[in-house]
Amino acid sequence: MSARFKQTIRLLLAATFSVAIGPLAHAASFKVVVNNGVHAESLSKKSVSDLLMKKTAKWDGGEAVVPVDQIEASAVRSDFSRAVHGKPTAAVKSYWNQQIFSGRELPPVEKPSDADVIAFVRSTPGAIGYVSESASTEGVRVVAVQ
Amino acid sequence: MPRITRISRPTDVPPSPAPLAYAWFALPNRRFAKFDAALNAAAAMEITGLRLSTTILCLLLATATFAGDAIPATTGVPSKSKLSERLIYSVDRTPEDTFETPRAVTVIGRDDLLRKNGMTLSDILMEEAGFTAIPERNGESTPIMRGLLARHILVMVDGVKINDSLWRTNTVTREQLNLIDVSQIERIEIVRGVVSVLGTEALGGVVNIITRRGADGSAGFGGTIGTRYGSADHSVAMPIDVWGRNGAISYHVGGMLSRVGDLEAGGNVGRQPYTGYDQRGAHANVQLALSSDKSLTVAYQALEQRGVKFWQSLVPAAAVKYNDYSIEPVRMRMATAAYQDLSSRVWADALNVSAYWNVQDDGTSRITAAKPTIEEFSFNKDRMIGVNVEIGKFIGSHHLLYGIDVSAEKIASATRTTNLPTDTAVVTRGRYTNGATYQSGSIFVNDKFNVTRFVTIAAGARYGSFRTKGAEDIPIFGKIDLNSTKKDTTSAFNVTVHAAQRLNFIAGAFRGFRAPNLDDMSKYFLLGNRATVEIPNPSMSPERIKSYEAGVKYETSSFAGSAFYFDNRLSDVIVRAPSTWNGLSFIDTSGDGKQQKGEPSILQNRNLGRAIIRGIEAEFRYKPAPWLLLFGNYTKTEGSDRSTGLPFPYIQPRFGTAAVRYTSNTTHAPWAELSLRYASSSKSTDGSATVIDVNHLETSPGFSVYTLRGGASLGEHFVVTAAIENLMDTRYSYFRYQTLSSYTAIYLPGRQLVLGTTYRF
Repeated sequence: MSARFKQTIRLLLAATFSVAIGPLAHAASFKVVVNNGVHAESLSKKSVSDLLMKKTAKWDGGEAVVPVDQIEASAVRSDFSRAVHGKPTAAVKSYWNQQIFSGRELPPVEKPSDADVIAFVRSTPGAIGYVSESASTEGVRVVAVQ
Repeated sequence: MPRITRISRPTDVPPSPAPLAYAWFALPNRRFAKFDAALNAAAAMEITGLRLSTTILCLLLATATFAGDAIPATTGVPSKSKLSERLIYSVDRTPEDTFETPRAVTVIGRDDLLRKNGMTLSDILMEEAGFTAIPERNGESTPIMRGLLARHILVMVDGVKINDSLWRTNTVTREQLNLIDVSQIERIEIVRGVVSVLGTEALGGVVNIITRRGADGSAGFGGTIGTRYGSADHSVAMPIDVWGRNGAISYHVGGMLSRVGDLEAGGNVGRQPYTGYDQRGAHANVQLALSSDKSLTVAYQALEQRGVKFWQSLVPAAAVKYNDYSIEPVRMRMATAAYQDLSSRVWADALNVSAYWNVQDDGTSRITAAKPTIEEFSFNKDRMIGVNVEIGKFIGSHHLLYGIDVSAEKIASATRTTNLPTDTAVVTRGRYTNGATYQSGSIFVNDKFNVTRFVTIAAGARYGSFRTKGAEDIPIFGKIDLNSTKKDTTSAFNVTVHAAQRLNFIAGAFRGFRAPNLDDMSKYFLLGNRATVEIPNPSMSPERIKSYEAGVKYETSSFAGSAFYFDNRLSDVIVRAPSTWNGLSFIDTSGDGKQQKGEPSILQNRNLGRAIIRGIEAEFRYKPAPWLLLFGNYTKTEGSDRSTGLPFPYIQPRFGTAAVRYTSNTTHAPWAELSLRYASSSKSTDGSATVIDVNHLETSPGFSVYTLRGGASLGEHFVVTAAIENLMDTRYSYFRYQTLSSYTAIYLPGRQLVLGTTYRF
């Protein structure tokens, strides 16, 4: 096997690896926010994931959970999906497509910006969402994610 | 219409013998009596089976009625239904956005289904891009996509194929889109072109019927009672549906009864005799949510048409005079159990397993004018069971889909000739080798991934093995052995270039095949005036296709459109052609080596066809104002046999639809729509005898048909629709040849009023 061929193979493997893990390299850069009526200070990643994926329907106090998502193209959604759901946005979207297609469940409403998410969470009892690290969170409660 | 009464039959229920054996010649009376008893017992079981199905459905209906809290249903189309219209499953077996999929697709949603208010599936599909149909009879049509028809179109219900091993070109019943109850349809997915991971039958395209499921949102219980009336054939249909949710169980149960008279066509055609029929159908779907990620769905559907006549042979112009020529039974029953698990594992993010059972029956009952006391009843049944396993997994940016499909079929086929005055019968070979089996097993893999943010690649392959078994000893011909195995791979490669956020350029290359089925391999019957006989041919190869397509999709908030060009190269196409047996081109019953009168010429299915089919398909929807929608489509297909240069059979004419729709969000939500359906004249071989035959080059005239539709809600629970179809009373049809007296299509309805009502509770 020639050295040039080996080098080419190494380059291809490196490129494949970098493409595969590239999205994982982003640091988590989001804040989870809930409506002020929700009495939660911190939540585990799994709890947040279950709330956003509608696997948990009610808060401990009995109030209905109303999740809100960012639009598919947003960078914060990509970070959030990787960090909390442990899968890319496309996988989460595929999950919801399967749910819709099976006639079972609808995905959370999507908002185009941090400000829209904050406005929704502020005005909707039981709401939970997430925004960029730098977003203003006035009027909502920021929950620590463990 | 003059109703023909059969001379002697103890019951009106169509006989449905499940032949356990057959004999070429008349059986001795004692022996036959035993066999006839078996046939009658089998027929009784069939009838009992139908009654049992009805009883089960009634029980389900009753259970559903009392299961949930009676919460009044909301009006309007459920939001889940609207959202699902943007999804398509039938491209790579994963629900994905119609804009993002790299194929030419159309999804007909529940709204449009209600607006079209079609009596049959072909009524609904005939206005869509790329889709035409040969309306052989009132209430049924053979589908054509990209110049390929029936057996080359994969028809599915909820992702489960219903093409069985007896699907044909266009000659009898199964492949004519008449086995689906339209009232159970939630939406219809159409994919044009070769679809590699779904099934090898999909050379021309896929039609996937998605059925209605449990209530949307939190509605505990609801339902609809509908009526539909069409003046051209005085048809009346009454679908009833009930749905609801009770805890983890959601359900949707319904049924439909219809009675259709003889169809009056436009122009000077008048009423077409022997075109009426009755139809009844039932469906049930129960879904159990095992958890937020897991569900189990059990569904059943049955549909039967009765009183269907082979009108082509009963009209005065027919070459052979018949006192009766009925098509009975026409029936499909299907049950599925589907398990879905969306929890993440190392090897899967989505697991879908579907098991299915499907039984299709068809037959013909004939009494000729020359022998009015002899009834010849031919019957075919295909029993199919199968399992599909689909697994989806995201790895990095790759969305991998892999799985297996397996199915097994067994057919029964026999002909019973009854002397009506004496009520004695002889059972002989049917159209096919009785007891033959057809097994298929396939594995598939599909990967979709982003190369860059501008380029997405989707590639898939499916390896399939098809095994036939069966043997028989036919007098004159001797032993025929159907044992064979065909194996091949289909593959697809698509590139999507995302030129802008809502602008995609697409290119694709496909390689496909379709293995010969039992209809192709084991047919034996005399044609028409008995001057020719078709004999089995077990040694055929699969039909093959290489296909290339390029397209563009563009979408904004007010506009959605797509245009595709395709180029198909077909080889080894199975065609019925003159052939020989033991070196002779005819059946030499006299043994003198020369064809005498009464010695039929031999035809056989052979891999002789080679064709090029090219075309374009374009469609758009444009909403310049909230109350106004303009939409339409255009299709042009050209195809020729590569050996002769003659037109390939059933190449579609140039055709299209242009429409304008007004909708209002006021209290009664009125809407109105004016549409034009256009088709050019087309020149084609009719394919009824041999494909490559200049003597069968025929011209089907073009047409323009205008339709005015409208509707409104009257109160919270009542919706009405009304249409005047074929406003100018045009005489029209697809593939209606002028010079042939038989085997041609029916004329479609003349000017008619179609009324529909839906009461929602």
